[in-house]
Parts: sequence; structure tokens; C-alpha cells
Amino acid sequence: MLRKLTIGVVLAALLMMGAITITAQDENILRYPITTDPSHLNVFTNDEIANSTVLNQIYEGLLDLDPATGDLVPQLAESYDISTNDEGQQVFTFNLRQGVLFHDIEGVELTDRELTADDVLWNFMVALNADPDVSEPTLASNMRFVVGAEEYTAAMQEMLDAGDELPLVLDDMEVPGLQVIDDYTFEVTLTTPDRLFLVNGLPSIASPEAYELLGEDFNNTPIGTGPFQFVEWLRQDRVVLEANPDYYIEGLPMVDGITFVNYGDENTALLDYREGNLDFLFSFPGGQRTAIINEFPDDFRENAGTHIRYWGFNMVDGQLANEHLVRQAFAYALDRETAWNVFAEGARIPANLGFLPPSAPASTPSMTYQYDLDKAAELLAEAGYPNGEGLPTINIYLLESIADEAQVVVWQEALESLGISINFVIEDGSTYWDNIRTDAADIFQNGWNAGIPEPAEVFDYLVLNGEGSMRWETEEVNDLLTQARLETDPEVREGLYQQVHDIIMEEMIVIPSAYSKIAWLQKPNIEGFEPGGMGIHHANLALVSNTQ
Amino acid sequence: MIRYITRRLIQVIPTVFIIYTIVFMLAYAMPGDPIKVVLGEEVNRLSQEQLQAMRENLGIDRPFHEQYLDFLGDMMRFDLGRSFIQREDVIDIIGYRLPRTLQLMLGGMTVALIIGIPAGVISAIKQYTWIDHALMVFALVGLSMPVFWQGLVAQLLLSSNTTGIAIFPVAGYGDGNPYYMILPSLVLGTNLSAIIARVARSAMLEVAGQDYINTARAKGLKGRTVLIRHHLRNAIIPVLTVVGLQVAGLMTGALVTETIFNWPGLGRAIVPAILQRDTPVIMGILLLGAFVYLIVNLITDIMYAVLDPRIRYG
Repeated sequence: MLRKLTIGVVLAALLMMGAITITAQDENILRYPITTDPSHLNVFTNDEIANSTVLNQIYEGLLDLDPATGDLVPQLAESYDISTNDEGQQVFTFNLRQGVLFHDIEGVELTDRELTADDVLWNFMVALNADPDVSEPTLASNMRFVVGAEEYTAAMQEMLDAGDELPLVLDDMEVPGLQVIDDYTFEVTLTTPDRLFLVNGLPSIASPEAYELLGEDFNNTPIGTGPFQFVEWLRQDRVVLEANPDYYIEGLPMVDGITFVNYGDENTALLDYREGNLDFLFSFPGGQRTAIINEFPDDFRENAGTHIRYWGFNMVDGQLANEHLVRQAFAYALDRETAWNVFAEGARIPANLGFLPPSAPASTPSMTYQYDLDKAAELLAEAGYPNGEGLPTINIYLLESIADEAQVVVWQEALESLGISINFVIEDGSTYWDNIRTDAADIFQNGWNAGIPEPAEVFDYLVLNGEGSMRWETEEVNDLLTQARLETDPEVREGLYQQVHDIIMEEMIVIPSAYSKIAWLQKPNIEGFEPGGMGIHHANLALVSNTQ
Repeated sequence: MIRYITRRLIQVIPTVFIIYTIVFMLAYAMPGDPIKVVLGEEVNRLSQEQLQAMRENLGIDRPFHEQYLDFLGDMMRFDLGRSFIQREDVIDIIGYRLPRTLQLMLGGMTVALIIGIPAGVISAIKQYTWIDHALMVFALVGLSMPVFWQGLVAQLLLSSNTTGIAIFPVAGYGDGNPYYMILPSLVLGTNLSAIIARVARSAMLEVAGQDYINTARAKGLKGRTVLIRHHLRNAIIPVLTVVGLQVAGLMTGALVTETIFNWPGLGRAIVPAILQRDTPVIMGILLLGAFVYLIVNLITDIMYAVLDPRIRYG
């Protein structure tokens, strides 16, 4: 009897503990799932989405892109002017907000430390540091048109190459294009007009004192001026932020904090969402997309994204580098509708247009490749390979993390039906990026996030000067892209990009496969969450309210 | 006994050294570059000089022997280096996660012993009855179910009011709240409990026919006393051996369990480290795993003597 009673009491206690633990949610915080733990939280060396998801809520730049519209909006600079100086150079004058305070967190007390133009200058200078361990090289690359920036970075690189110890900022060398006018005015001069400078050339602003004070710990203790401030980071478990009590926009953020909960398994996140332990769900377990949408029809949201999935041809030493017609045949053989709408349950939009996100200017090329096996067979025959006869086995490289996509199976079947012999090679990221740039690979699988609906964000990185893994370039295309970068008239610019796009699709250097969708679930109590098409990590969580 | 323990501890040193050498050679031989894993297609935007500078910073541009000896020297000073990816010292990465993994392993082991030994003993006592058959079928099922599947089923049944009854939290560490540990421990311990039950049953049956058991009974000792003091105590040695050997399995299981239950342990660190070629983290965790395994087996050997006075160490 006593034994039974004991067992009963233990079970009852367990049930009560469970009930208490599971329903413990009475604070006004956002419970936000992340599937990858940030590798670090250093804003200067960051180049990963997982890190950006957290850092974007802590740090701000002078300007920001509105996630919903892609327009530039004021952030730490409440306004800016564009002018031309006596030497015909483009000058940006940023008028900083007054009264912006750096975060004051436990261990790094920066009580009432106001942001000034000197801090902005310091951040620009750190961003130009040539040491990749100090600053991600893309930052300096995006600032290359700032007067004196290239010389400054080159001097640092020289020191680095000579094995000298590199200071954070070179005290004896100025960058004339970066000037502090007064406490609240900062000026940037460019050697040549660069309309993308405001989009990607402005670094986030960190606290110089915190950087110095924290040393190595700056990698995991971010201190900025944003709507949320850092509380703690329990690796592979969660990152906790709290509302910045001194945030310069009254009433924001609308919640008291955010807990980024790390999930190693998508099924676990789904279960926690179902049990009400999460306010969002961003990653759906494979094969469950339709079931999830049916289960949570009111919670489901979807936006078109700016990511493109594509197949690239090795245009230097691949077996199809000189087989223009065969490349076109491969493009006609990809049944995007079946792959993405049927097998992948609509997870992406079939890329029936071209190599740009549909929302970008010039996104419809003159030549498109709708699925047409007869046309593919004709092209093969015209190229001298009727029914694939005489065509060598084609090596297609697949990136391990996305190798299981349905499009692979769908395409393989179509190509084999044309008599083409295929050899798939699956590799992970540590060897993939090297091997697809060798003669071992004829075709490779890839994806690219444009970030904003802007042709330059694709062409400048994957086509200009043969930078992408296709390694394809022509003088004509390079000239067109360089002109487009400098062109300020939107119509003329679109025309230039249209020409480039037409050439790319006619030459068939890449087969566009799919455009991304940004899909997520959010609880009915959540309002104001607008990630736009740029990616979930761009959402401004300060505007999100939890009406629970 | 002290001499024996000292000798075994000294033996740990060359064993760890051999393991270090093998693991380092494997890590060095692994194709791939951690810089390219992180940068992906963007690596094309860096100049060769910048890439070289990054490799120099990480120390991965040096020849094998230099890296091997440097890392060995650092390791002897308990400096496991710095993660290529996480910008954190490996000792800190391990220091944070190891207690959590050990906690989970301890939970799993407790579950395994609590279920496995009584199941084996009852099965042996009730040999060839329906109880015996039922318990052995349970053991077979427990042994056959992969940990990740058990985890999903356990979550659906015990953490969700939609598909079962939400007694336990779905996942998470819960700031060390032991309540969060119960479900992952159950999942982790089930496989091992099945093994223990089977070994305990056969060991109990083997001992059952021994003369000292008959003698004990003939002396008129109570059945329970015979069972615990003579029967079980002699049958426990093989069980102990299995438990010691299964620590490695438990650690492997913990790595999977951690992923399913969002448990911030070593498993959550080593899987991305392998994928990203983060050699210092891989080395640190594997060496630590080997060390834990050696120590647990040493403790197992010592336990033999504690449980069976006939076993003596010279």
C-alpha cells in the first residue's frame, strides 16, 4: 500500500512539475527559433546569417534597408545629403541623431555614453583593417571608392605581408574620404559615384570603448546602439537579449526581450511550436510542408525571397565549356515545375525566367528555357550528339547540404531519357568550392542570396570579372556591368543590366532553377513581423509586438 | 591496490599519446579547408594573399610535423588551442559543454541500471515464463530502436498534448532544471538498459547452478538473501564489464540525443566542427572522449575488486 502511495505521489509531482515548466511563459518576450548557433557575435568579422540574426537586433548603421520595401531608411543618421565637391567627387554628408546611447550592460558599464561622429569614424577605420581576423574583407571591398581607402588598406596589407604587428587603426595615416565635421556630422567622399555605397558600404556601429575593454570577449559580447541589448549567450542553447531601455525611438522595442532558442532538429522546433513554446517557426522538416500549412493555416506566412538556386557550368575547362547547344539542351531538360511545386511541395518558385530574383529590374531575359524535352533532344542532335551518342559522361557536383533536393532526381531522369550519361559527385563545403573550379566538374549546384532585388547584387559577384565559380567573363559584359554600377539614371541602368542578362541566358552559363520563398509560421498573438524578401534575419524585431 | 591504480594511470599517458597521434593524422588527412567552408562562394572575392594570411593566422599552412609538435606541446600544457570558427578557446568550448554531456550520460546510465538490472534478474528468476519472454522482447525492441527514433517517439508521446500527454518539456536545458533531463535520459538509457538486461539475465542463469548458491540455500538462508548477497553479487561482474565498455556507446548516443533535445553538450559542438574542419575542436573533444573512456574503464576494473573479493590486483 505504502509503495503504491509513494509511486502515486512521485507521478503526481512529475505531472505538476511538467505543467509548471511547460507553461512558464508570462513575460512579454519573443521566443524565436534559430537552427544554427552563431559562430561568434563580432560585428566586424561577421559574414554568416546565423550571426546576423542576432547582431541585426543589437547593432545599427547610419542607414538601413526597409525589409519590406528595400528602400533606404534613416537609422543612426537621421538624414543625409549628396553633393559634388570642387573635384567632381561624390560627397555624402550624414547628420547623426543626437542622444543615441551605447548599450549599458553588466560588465561593460558605459553609462550615458553618447554616440558621436568620432565613433562613426572609428568604426569605418576598423572596417578598413586589412587583417581578416579583425574585419571581414567584404567591408573594405564595399568601401573601395572612399577617397584614400584603397591606399590605406594597401598600406595595412603591406605590413601584414611583412609580418608586422598590425594596429587596429593606423595613427599616422588618414583616409581623406572620411571626415568628422562636428560631433553630429560625418562626411564621406567617394572617388567615383557609387550608388551601392549606401546599400552595402556603411558598417554597423560598435562601441569603441567596449571593443577595447572586452578584448577577445568582444567576439561574444556585442555592444551597439540597437533596440535590443545583449544579456547572455549559452552556446548551442540560446541567446538572450533584452529591450534597450535608452533606445532613441520612444515606444520601441515593443517587447521586453528576445530569446533565440537554438534547435538542432527541425522536428523538435515544430513540436515546441505546436506546444506553444515558440512564437515563430522558420524551418519546416522535409516532406512536411503541406501538412504544416494545413495544420496551421492561420499562422502561415510567405514572401518571395531574393535567393536564387542554380546550376552553373564550368566555363573554363569543363567538358561543356565549348558546347553552347548542349548547355541549352540541359537547361530545357530541367522540369522546375515538377521539382519545386510537386516534389518540394511549393517550397520554392520555379525559376522560369532568368538569373535574377523576379522582383529585380531586368529580371526577364529575352530568352527563357521552359521544360521541353523535344527541344532538348533537337539541340543535342544539332550539336552532333543525337540521343546523347558521343557525349562523354558529364560530372555534376552536388553540395552535400542540398544534394537531396528533388530537382536532382527530376533532372537526372530527364537527362538520362535523352541518352546523356551523368555522374553525380557529392561533396561537403570543405572541398566543394575548390573542386568545382577544376576540370573535374562540368556542372555544379549552387545558390546565391542577392540580399536586395538589385541586379548588381548577383552580376557583380557571380559574373563581373569572372568572379563566380562559372569563371566566365567577356570584355563586353564587364564593360556593361561597370557602366551600370556607375549609372545613376534608373532606366538606362536597367537597360544595361537587361543586355547582360540577355547575353548570359543566350550563352547559357547558368541554369536558373528556383527563386526562394520566405515561409514561416507565427502565432496569432504576434504582430508587426515583416521580414520582406531579404531574408528572415533582416526583420526588425523592435517593431514586433506580442499581444499575449 | 594503490600501486595498481598508479600503474594504470601511468598507462593512460602513452594510450592518450597514441590516440592523439592517430586522431591528428586523421584530422590532417581530411580534405578541405575551414576558410572555404565558412566563406563558400564568397571565397572567390578574396585575393590569394588574403587567403594565405587567413591560413597563416590559423596556422594551417605549416607542414604536418610542425603542426603536430606544436599542438602536442600545447596539449601537454592543457592548451587545446583556439577554434578556427568560433573564435573561442577549445578549453572553454569543452569546459562549458562537458559537464552537460556527463550529466546526460549519468542520467542515461542511471536509467539503464534501474531498468536493466531488475529486468535481467526477474527474467532469469522467471526463466521461460511469459514474464521472461515479455522482458526479453522488450529488451530486443529497446536494442533495435535507433536513438533518434526513440527521441522523436518519446517527444510525441510525453511532450505533446496533441499526440500524447505533455508531462515533460519538448527540449532544452532549462538552466539545469533536472526535470528537463528526464526525457533525454530515458531515451539515452533505453538502449543500454536492453543490453544490461540481456547480460544480467545470462549471468544470473550461469551463476544459478553454482555450488555456492545451492549451499546457501541448503544453509536455510532466505530466498531474497541468497538472491542479493550470493546470486546477484556474483552475476554482476559481467554486467559491470558491459557498463564500462558501453560508456563509449553512451557518449555516441548522447551526441544524437543532444541534437534532438537541444541539449548544449559536446555533441552539438563536434558535429559542426567536423563539417567545418575545425581541427582544434575535433581534436579536443575526441581526446577528451578517449580520456573519459579510459578513466571509466579503470574505475570499472577497480569495482571488480570491490564487488568480488576473490579478485586481487598485484
